[in-house]
Amino acid sequence: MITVRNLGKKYEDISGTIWPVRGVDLDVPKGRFLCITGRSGSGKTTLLKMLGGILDPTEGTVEVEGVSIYDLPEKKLAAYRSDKTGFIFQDYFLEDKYTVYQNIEVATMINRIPERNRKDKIEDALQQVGMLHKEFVLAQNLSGGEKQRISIARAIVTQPDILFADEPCGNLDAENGKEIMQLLRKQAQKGRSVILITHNREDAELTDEIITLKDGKIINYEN
Amino acid sequence: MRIKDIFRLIGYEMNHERTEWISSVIIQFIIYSMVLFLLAMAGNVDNMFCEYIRPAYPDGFEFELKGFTEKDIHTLEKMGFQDITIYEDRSEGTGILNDLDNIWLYKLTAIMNGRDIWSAKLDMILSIIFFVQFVFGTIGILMLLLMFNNISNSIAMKLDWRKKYIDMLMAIGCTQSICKKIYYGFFWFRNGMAYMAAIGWNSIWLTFMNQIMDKHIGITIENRYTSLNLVIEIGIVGSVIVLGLLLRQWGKVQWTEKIR
Repeated sequence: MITVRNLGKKYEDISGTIWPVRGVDLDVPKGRFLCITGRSGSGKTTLLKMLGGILDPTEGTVEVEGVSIYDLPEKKLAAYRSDKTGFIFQDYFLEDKYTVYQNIEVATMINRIPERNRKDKIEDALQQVGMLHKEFVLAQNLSGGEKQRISIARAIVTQPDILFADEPCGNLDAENGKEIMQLLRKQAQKGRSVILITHNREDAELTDEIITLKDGKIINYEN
Repeated sequence: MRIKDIFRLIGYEMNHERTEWISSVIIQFIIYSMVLFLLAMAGNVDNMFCEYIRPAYPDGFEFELKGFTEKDIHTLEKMGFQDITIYEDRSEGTGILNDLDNIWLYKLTAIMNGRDIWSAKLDMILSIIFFVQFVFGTIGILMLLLMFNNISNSIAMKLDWRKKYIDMLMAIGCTQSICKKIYYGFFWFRNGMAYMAAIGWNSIWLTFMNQIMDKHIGITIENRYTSLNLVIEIGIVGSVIVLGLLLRQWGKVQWTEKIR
């Protein structure tokens, strides 16, 4: 369960003070597939990063299972990111010169998964996204849709409770986008909270709940 | 993260952009070799001149000592002076050196203490030694600074190229300190290769030079790069400098994720 209260982020700019996110209250139960939508610059990514323990908020709290993550020291906050969360990026962030296996292995190293267990976990994650047959292919030889599947496998290999997906279908065609959304839905069905950012209405409607942001504030909830 | 995994990620990094880092190692090897050679020459010029003119001074090189008292005799002996005569009333005297090793170091130290060590007979030779040492030493130090600048720029470029990857590592749970360790390890190995190659090359080259010079003109020079202690000492200083440059460049990167 993620509980967010009065969350805000402030930047100082030459034009003055900017609040990309301000006064956000949110509850995300386990297994919920939540979509955060809004126009460019509405604060979606900033909110996602703060939920993911990547960006320190200026005000407010983010609690995960009762623990305020930004009160944690650096190492524990990093452990939160590694153990509890998985990130899926719009640009995949895969290493082209690494094999699919190596790309996913990086996450298992950070998660301190013992070497003897890694192969099974990586293959299990690849199986879940239907990419086991590409295990030893270089990432540079994959299509966009395949790369995003690998990105999902990397996010789920550590069996996190929460998945954050920042425009995962943004660089994909409609068919591949649909498949990625189905994969994310499956993860939610397994009991993981999935928080998705998109400005594609069709993708948003495949989720359980839609939150619309405008100027950093939630202006609409839809179930 | 386990140490073994840190090494594995360093290994992955070595495979990434191999052409770039190999060319960087080659450039650093060339500059480093020149620096080490110039500094070795600067340190050996006095000895080479000394051996060259020695036949003309079979009894050693007589020096005038100004501002020294009898209390300084022990210090002068440590420098290698023999047959020291001090006229206490004038604070002057004479002494004989068997070789000219470090003569400018002794002279400059004496000058800083309001004294002087000089030989009118060797005036020209000493001036040439100083000039050559100054030129070699200055070029060597300037090239050393150029090399630091080259290392610093190559670190900045690498971090710039790998920024997205490092951001991703941090997003999936890597701490900044682990990321720094990975990249310090990478730069340490990379620069270590250039350093070891330059030391090895200089050691071989100076040994070869020694053999040729000994055979033809009977002069040998000191090859300090065969000393393991010196190699380790330079290595430690080099490691600290690389760490400093990495931290400096790391601090300049605008990391996308403002993680504590």
